[in-house]
Amino acid sequence: MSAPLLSINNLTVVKDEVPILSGCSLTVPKGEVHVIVGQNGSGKSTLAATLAGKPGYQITQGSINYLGKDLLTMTPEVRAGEGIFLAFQYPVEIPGLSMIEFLRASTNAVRGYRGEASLEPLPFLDYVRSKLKVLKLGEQFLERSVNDGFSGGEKKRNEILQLLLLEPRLAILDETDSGLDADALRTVAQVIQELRSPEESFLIITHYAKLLSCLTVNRVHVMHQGKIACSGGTEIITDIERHGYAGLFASL
Amino acid sequence: MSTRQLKTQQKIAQPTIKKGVLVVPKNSRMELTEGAERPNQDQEYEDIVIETGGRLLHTVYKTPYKSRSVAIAANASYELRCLTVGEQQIVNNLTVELKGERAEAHIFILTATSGTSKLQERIHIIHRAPNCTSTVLHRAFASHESTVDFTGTISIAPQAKKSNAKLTSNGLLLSPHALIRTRPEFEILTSDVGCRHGATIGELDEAALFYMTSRGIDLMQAKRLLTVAFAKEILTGMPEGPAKNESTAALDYFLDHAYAV
Repeated sequence: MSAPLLSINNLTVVKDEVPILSGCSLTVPKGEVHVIVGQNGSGKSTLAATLAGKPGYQITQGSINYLGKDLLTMTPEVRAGEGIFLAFQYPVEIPGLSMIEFLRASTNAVRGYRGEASLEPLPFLDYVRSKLKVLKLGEQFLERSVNDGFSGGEKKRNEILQLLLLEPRLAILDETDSGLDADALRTVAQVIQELRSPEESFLIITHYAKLLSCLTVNRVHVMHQGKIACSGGTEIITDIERHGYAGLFASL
Repeated sequence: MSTRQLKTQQKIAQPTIKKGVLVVPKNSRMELTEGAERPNQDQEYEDIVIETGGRLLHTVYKTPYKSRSVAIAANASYELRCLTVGEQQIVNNLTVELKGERAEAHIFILTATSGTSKLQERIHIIHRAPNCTSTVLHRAFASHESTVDFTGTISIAPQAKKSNAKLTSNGLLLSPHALIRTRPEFEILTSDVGCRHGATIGELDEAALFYMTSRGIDLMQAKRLLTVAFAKEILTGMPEGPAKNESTAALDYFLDHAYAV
């Protein structure tokens, strides 16, 4: 196993006075693809939001170590600069802000944090065009307002477009496969496979085995009542498909 | 009532001034900008009449129009984009009458107030003929200790069947000490009309701010991008030229100082 990129230790998170994560621990080594599955309300999205630094989530216990640093002391923008990327389950609509403006602002912000030069409009256009091609998106996509009037599939592809542009170290995909057709799903899987490197890790939250069938996954974790109840290989997914979560927990 | 300075930005038809009333002649099209620094084309007027089939694209910035009435004849249209930016004490009253069939009025108001500004905007659209259309879109930023008071009223007269009207007011508070009041009102005296209204007052969307900061954009830049996005619907519709450039620059300056209490 490679050195850990992310270590979550005994994390307890409360939102609106309700504990959602209760002693959650998880380690993601560098270069690995880990998957989190679990029933609705088990805390998967809360874990993703906590990792990205979403306001309103109170950490009452535990720690998160990311590349040897305390992640919990970082603002969301610093986390992005450090290489954390969350593909949102429900991407936010921003009427009036064009995609090209938003993408360039975010790309240059992250590049600036990493000490790289900002991309001027024309070089940025070349850069973004190359990524649009991967996702089979037309250039008119850039003229639209951020997620405004996008279909569910377009919103998810937009998240992957941002993932491609920002080149994170840890990409957290919160149900990115929900609402995607078979072709789009295959494209997302290809993107993940192509982005995989000894330095880049993925944490994929999903309800479906379909995406996982197109990927080589290192480890699967099952979340239950705010903590990781069990971990293993992809055989866990097969167990859940056959016997449901109740069957899986009964066998533990 | 004081007279106003008219500065013609692009003349497709010559304006006619009769006793302080600007007349857009029959079947002609005109673009006017109040507030632009363009010497030697000044004329004076206070109210506006748009004759049958006429069209007026009107931009007002820097200077308030204070009190004005616009009368629109059949098949004629009026589009106003009014921008007020900065620290000012202003009371604006605009009355628009749709007097002939299929007349149209589209009013876009953007205000960005700072300091201890007090701004009152009153828009009254009166549908007096059948098959007329009107839209009012009011967007207000209020920063520091400024106060914005908006009243938008659309009246549909008994004879104005098949009227179509939409009134929207969105206020964005950029400071805990700023105040926005908004009153969208309809007076409908007939049936068979399509009328919609909506009003919101709030702060910047926390979910949008998190989305942007999670992409590496710092909080101040995220706030700025969001506020510019809020204004864009009105700014993008402005004709290209000095008015748009100066308004955009004034808004940039406003946003640079908007979050300081």
